[in-house]
Amino acid sequence: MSAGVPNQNGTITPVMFPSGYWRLMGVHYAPSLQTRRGVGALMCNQVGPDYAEYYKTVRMLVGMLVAKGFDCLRFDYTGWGDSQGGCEEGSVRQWLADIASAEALLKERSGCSKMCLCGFGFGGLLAAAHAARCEAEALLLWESVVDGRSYCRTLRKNHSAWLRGSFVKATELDKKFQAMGFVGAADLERQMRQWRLTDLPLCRAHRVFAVVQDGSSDQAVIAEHLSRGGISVKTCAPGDALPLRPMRAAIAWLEGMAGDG
Amino acid sequence: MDESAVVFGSQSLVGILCEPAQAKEMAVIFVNAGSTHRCGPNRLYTILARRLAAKGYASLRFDISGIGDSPPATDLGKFRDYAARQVQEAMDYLAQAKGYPQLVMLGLCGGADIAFDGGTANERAAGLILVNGAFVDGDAFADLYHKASRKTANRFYAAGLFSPRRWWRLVTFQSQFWKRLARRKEAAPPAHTACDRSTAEMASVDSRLKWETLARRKANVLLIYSEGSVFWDIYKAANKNYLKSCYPADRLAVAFHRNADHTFTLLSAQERLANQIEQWLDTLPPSHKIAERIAI
Repeated sequence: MSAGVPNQNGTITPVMFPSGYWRLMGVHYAPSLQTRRGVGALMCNQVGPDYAEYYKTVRMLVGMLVAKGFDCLRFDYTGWGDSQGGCEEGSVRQWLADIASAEALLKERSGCSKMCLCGFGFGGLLAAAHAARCEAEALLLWESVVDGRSYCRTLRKNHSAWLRGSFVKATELDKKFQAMGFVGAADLERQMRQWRLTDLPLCRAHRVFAVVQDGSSDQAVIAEHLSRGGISVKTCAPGDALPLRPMRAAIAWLEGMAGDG
Repeated sequence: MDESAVVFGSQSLVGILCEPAQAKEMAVIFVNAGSTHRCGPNRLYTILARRLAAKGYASLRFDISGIGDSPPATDLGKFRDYAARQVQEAMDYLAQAKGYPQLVMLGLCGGADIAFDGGTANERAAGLILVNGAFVDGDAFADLYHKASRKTANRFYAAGLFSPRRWWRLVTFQSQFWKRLARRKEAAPPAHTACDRSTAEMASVDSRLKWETLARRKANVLLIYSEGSVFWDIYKAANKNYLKSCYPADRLAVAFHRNADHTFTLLSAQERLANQIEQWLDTLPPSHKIAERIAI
């Protein structure tokens, strides 16, 4: 494990940690002692071709959260980013185990009593699934996938359109489940298609904040499904390429959560 | 193979050191491709680092300040200048703290240009693997890019001349051609800056000084371009003739990858790229011979 690197708002510590058979790469962003709130935010990144784009959003949100006193951990799932494993090793079950391992690590390193799960894209679906069986206080869904089947269909469609408009010709090696750089085992698509927000057990988090397009069907699904059992659901539109507005709204919402006894 | 997270340099840069059990003396440094963090586009750098480790080459993939997990830079000046300095810090780290005397720089897209700058400025760079790099500077770059984009599009449409499906998509207005045509009109440069050969040559004046430095240092260079990259056309306009006549042919290899896009998205393209890089690294002389060559 590397030593922490001090920066203007706290300390950044890259860390390799175990998740079952694999070692995952994570980075713990700890706030300064003066601002520390005792609340952890676990970043469950996107699983898809736009992983690297979401990485920038995650990194930006983390920077703003740390400045407000939250402990944050971002990590790469098995077979993604700097974590161990090849593209064949990724599975929905493994990614859920990775989230549990990352959550345990964040609790251990920060000593936080409250936890917020932040899920991006398909990572939102994974975070919601984990929230149904852990003690997280809050769930932040950032442009979360709500239906794995339609998500996979969109990936395939976009991949085909991209192939048509490029010089690229797929070969035998490209028979795996591929979508513009997102590669998985043949079975992965089948697994991902089975996941739907509405099929998940009731979320145990007390409150949910969703960054979702206004008036979209996803907004209705999230609001209807997650508000069951008296959970408070707040939504905000994603905005432009630089999503400062939803970030500020999400942070204000999280500060409200941290302030509640 | 062992991978560990490391923090190094004056700006506390975050990286992953990938070391095989039996490491050769030569290590590879991966330079961020544009603003993509250290894994590279489509996880390409991670995949290459592990492939190279299996062949005995250690590597460091790290984030330049403000990219990925490295803290943002303050008061460091222009990005390209401090990025090149940080590449040199990465070289110093591998040489001094980890004991790798000779280094190979590897960069894709914008990373190729930074690897080029950093590698030129440091004698430890025995080789450079520059993938889809531009190596042109100054204001003329925008004009050059515009003209090269047209050539890239022309190559794309020429390749589809005998494809009935492409013709069908064209006449039924499903083709991207129509959108590209509209964009081309909007993005046309002012007439007085039309790009010609002299513009291209002007744009690469600074780069030529660097090529000369590399040639004097007898550095080995592998230039890789993909069919779907506009930088292949920029290379042909700005650098191809110059390098052919001025850079020692036995130290320069230029490869063109068909059926590959700018970031080597498909697995098959990544596989071909990795094979080529491995083969090229194996042709480099052992590090003590490189040291002798530099001393001469």
